[in-house]
Amino acid sequence: MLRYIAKRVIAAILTLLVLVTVVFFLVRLMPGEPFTSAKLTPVVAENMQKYYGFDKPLAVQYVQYLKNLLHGDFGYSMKYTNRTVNDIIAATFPFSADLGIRALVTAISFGLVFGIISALNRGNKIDFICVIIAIIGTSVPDFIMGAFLQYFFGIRWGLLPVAQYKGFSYTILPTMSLAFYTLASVSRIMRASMLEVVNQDYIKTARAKGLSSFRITTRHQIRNAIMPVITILGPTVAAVLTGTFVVESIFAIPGMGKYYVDSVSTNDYSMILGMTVFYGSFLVLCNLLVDILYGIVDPRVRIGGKAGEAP
Amino acid sequence: MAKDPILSIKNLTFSFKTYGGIVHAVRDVSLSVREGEILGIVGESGCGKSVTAQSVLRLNPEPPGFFESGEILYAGRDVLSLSEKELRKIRGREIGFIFQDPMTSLNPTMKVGAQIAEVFYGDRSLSRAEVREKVLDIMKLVGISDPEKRVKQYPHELSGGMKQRVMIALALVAGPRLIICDEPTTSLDVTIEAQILDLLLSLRERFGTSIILITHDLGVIARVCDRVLVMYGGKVLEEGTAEDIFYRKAHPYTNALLNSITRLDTDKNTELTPIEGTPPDLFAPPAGCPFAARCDYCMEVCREYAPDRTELSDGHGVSCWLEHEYAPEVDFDASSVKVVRKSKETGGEDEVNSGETVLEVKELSRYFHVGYGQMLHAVDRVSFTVSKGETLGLVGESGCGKSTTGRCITKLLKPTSGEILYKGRNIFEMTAEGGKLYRQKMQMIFQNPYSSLNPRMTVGEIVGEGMKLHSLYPQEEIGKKVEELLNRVGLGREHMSRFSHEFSGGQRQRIGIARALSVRPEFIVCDEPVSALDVSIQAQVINMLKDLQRELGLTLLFIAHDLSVVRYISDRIAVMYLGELVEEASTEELFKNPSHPYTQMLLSAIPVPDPERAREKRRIEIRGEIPSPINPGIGCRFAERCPRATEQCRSVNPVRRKIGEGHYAACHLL
Amino acid sequence: MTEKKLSPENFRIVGKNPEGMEKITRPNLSFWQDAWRRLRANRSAFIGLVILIIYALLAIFAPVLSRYGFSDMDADAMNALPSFAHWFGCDATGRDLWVRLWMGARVSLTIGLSAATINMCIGAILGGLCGYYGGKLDMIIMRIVDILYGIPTLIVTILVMVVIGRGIKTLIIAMCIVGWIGSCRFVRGEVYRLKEQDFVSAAQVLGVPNAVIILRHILPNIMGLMVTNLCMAIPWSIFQEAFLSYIGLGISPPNCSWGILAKEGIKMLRVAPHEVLIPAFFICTTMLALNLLGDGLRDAFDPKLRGTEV
Repeated sequence: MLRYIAKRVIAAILTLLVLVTVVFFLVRLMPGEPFTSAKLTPVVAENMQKYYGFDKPLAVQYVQYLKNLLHGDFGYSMKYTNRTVNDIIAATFPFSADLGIRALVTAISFGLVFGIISALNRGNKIDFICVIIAIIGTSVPDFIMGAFLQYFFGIRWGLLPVAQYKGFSYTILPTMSLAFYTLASVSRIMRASMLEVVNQDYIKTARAKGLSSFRITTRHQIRNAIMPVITILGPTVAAVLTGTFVVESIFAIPGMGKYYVDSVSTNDYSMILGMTVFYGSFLVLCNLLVDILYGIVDPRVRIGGKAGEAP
Repeated sequence: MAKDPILSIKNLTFSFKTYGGIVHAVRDVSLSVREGEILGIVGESGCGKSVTAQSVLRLNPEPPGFFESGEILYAGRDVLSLSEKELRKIRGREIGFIFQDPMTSLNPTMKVGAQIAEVFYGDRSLSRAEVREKVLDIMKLVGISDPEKRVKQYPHELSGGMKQRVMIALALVAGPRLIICDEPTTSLDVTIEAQILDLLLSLRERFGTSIILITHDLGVIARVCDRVLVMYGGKVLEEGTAEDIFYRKAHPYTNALLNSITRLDTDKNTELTPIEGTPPDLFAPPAGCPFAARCDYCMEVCREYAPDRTELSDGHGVSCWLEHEYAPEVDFDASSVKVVRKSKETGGEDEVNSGETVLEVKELSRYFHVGYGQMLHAVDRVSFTVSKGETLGLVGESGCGKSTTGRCITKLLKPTSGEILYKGRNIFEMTAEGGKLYRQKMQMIFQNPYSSLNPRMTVGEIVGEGMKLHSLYPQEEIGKKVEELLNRVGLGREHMSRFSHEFSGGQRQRIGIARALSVRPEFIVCDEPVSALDVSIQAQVINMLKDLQRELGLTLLFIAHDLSVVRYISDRIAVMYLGELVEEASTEELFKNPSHPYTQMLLSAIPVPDPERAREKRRIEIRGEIPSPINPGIGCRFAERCPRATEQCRSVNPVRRKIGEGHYAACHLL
Repeated sequence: MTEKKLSPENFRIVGKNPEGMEKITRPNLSFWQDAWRRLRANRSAFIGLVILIIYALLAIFAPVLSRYGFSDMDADAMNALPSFAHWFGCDATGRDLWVRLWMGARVSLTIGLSAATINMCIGAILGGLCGYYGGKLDMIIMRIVDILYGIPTLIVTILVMVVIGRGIKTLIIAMCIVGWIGSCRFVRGEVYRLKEQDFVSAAQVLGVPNAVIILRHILPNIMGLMVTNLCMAIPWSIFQEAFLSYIGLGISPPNCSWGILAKEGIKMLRVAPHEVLIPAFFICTTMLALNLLGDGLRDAFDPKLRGTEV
């Protein structure tokens, strides 16, 4: 197990290193040298110079850049004098995290429940409805889902607030738009996995033991069926996170995603890069946690020391 | 003393609804099991034996399965009318069930101790400590060493034999009155199989438990069963005591089945008698006797009407029209004349042995990295030679390296060290041209008929590929040649455009043989060519291989784990254990005078399909499990399990020595 | 049993009837014919296929046949509702939505299809080489894949778009830089599995050259799965394009794609909801059709189901 964790940690560190190195060189390759152009105000130009150190040799620049990141310094904005990326993150991340966690919890819990219910009712009407919802869910991008919900529940029927983020009723629509796609894919995977597990020999063994079907479902079927869901948790976190970009701008939530989109539209390159590095590192860490979680849940990884992937 | 039956099934008919229609899996089956009795159900794959057994506990999935008629009485209660809750009380507590494949029958995410203890789940009369006590006791009883440690392990940490013991412990822990074993030893090696069968017998002795044993292996039946049911095409064809079935068989199918198996005393110069054809399609079972189409004694009536059961003596019943008053007298033994095979060459054995050496394997080793610096010694310093026109049998249990050796010879794997010489030339240092010629002369037949044919190619393409590649015939003749070859293996022109998934296992294996023959090879490595087939089909394939060898003068390396088959087909036999060659001798010598303790153990473990001899047979005690071939120790690899191991055996690996004419063994004790 | 009239004539031994035992009664279908038959029988997948064909045809012909250009503004028809003149109404600057929708479809479908195809090809080549040859090459590529796999593709795509600028071509390039990783892993796994199959060993023993083994023995056996995966990857690519255009990093106006239409429409949500609802309907139905088709293909190619039908 320790070996497995060590391996994952090393892979995660390498991934991070690759990510920041790529960003470093991309900045130097950007056409039109936006970071040194004359259009910048003196203060901003100085900040850029301070953070990126364009006049020094490349190797020094690289070391300096890594040092900055290690200290958790993601750089400055090019548009707003004296605003650092860290300021923005500090001010906006709580909103995004709140929304993201709500969406994740909703998506995974309801996704699992739908998947399980659907599989247990295989072939009848309940299953049919769950499958239809799941297929629609995976076919509707979250910005469209957001627009739909906002139009019908907010504008047309006036049931829920359409913008801002100031209390529980404000969270419902954004959470739903963000969670729906993930919810649908979790439920599809869980359903397929449940149906696969139910044909396994050990389920027959459990039945031959005289266990109740409730016990078989909970202890044997779900426990084993949940493994594939854990493996997609990493991509799921990423999907929810990128989903916050659009959902936040649709619902005017002052989170990181909205700022990110705003920076794109104002060509605030240093802000985009700084926030991207932050997002990237955050997701790499999430993936690492998921891998470790998988190791804990699956005894074959925990004890055998081998990941459950193809050799 | 007649005992009451604890389980009786009357006229059970069980079917499955599928997309293709209704599968009539079990038709009109009746049976009964008495207290303390071992009832064997024997039959080939798809005969309905497993479905019958599982219906006792209603373990068949319903739907798609459903009972059409019949009743199942357990201890006087009708199982079919019990509620789910009442049924659960019987499952596990009163009737235990052991499944075929221990690898997949245990939950991979649950500790084995917990899985055994789960039988008592919901039983409030037992405390935790009592349950734990029971689990440890039963694990000790079924021969699991160090149960305190094992309870906390997960299934993937245990070997196959150990998992099957866990399964048995699971079935036994609540002290059931009946245990149903569905092919409990099929996926295990012979030495482990012998241990498990001994265990079942001892359980019956101790607790008087009744056992239903389902198997396709008549040797297993002969060894442990009191009474036997022979099933075919979803029906019971014959029922009787083991002696009735083996010595007073009355149904032509029982007779044919017993004749088709290769025994340790089958005359090597006679042909085996396979049962031609394939079992009936259960979507549309024949109206008459299910065996009619393949039966030598089939009468007109057999095709139209299903025969009733006739009682021949107390408990010996048969469903066959031959028992009818109008039927002619038939003597099975008189009519089953053994076809004597023409001797291979007029000179017989001597000439074979004096033949030139075609293949020489010298100090062959093949290791595999398995991660974390561990090395799996699949094959370790193996040497042997094969002469022209002979058959060398390579036997051993799973993981002994016999297949790896075969794959090195066919250049599918590169050896870690050592040399393989074909006609004096190292096969890994050949010129491009020589290499191509070697590819033509050296062919291979594979074990699994389902994975050995490309599902996207027609049979014609599969068989013709090699001919085109080696330009053996002009382009326009290839079709004709493929047809000739297919005819040779009992298939026809109409099969050429078919895809492999439409064929049965036996047919596929024959296509595999045709592919190997398509390039006119001199040497064929047969890697367990019959082990995936039913016995009646095995005989077809073995006959075919033997005939082809004689006609074409082929040299064979026959890799198998079944000693009876190897004995029948081989001139010489080499025995492997954990990557090493432990003994090598001519077939007669090896069976007459086995010298290595492992060979002796292996021979003693073979189940003999003859109840009297099986009971008389003296057995060598079989110890332990097959150890892991990863980083093996320095001593003799068999020392751990050897009943005669000395200090020297544990510290020094013995070298191969000559102990008789053409007889070699690697053992310190000789 | 009922009384049967049996006479001694019925009891003549006629022997076995082996003829017909080797006969196969099923129609002779190749794998692809069989899969096509299954797909046609699968109603929802077939509907998906029909929808996609209709949309593709409309994307090709609708803009050409309309009297409006996709960027022609009509000041009188700002935010016009659907009518005979403008079938789907007009947007905030009076551009005809019917034409813009199918122009957008051209861009979105082109990007979706080409990005997914390129990714599948790169992935198949690299994954195939890794899986078949193994060894050092495999180790190096798989290490790279392991490292890149940790970074979400969208993040990389965004970075690349920031640097190389907006446009259809750059968008496809950006989506392909790391998009092949998934298909590489999947193809490698499949090839690895197939390589262990005995029929590949048999071909090696016959001396079939490696290139021929890959083309004749391995590729046809993973084609089905590759087509399925491709079909599943297209919605993801379309989604990515729409997402990037939505946040302003994809196609730049006045060009249009479905992402742009949705973005512009959402701005007018209160005033003219049809401007978002109509594109949304087409985006969703396309995704739905692709998902249904993908599911259908998966079932049609599933080897587990083969052979069970008569």
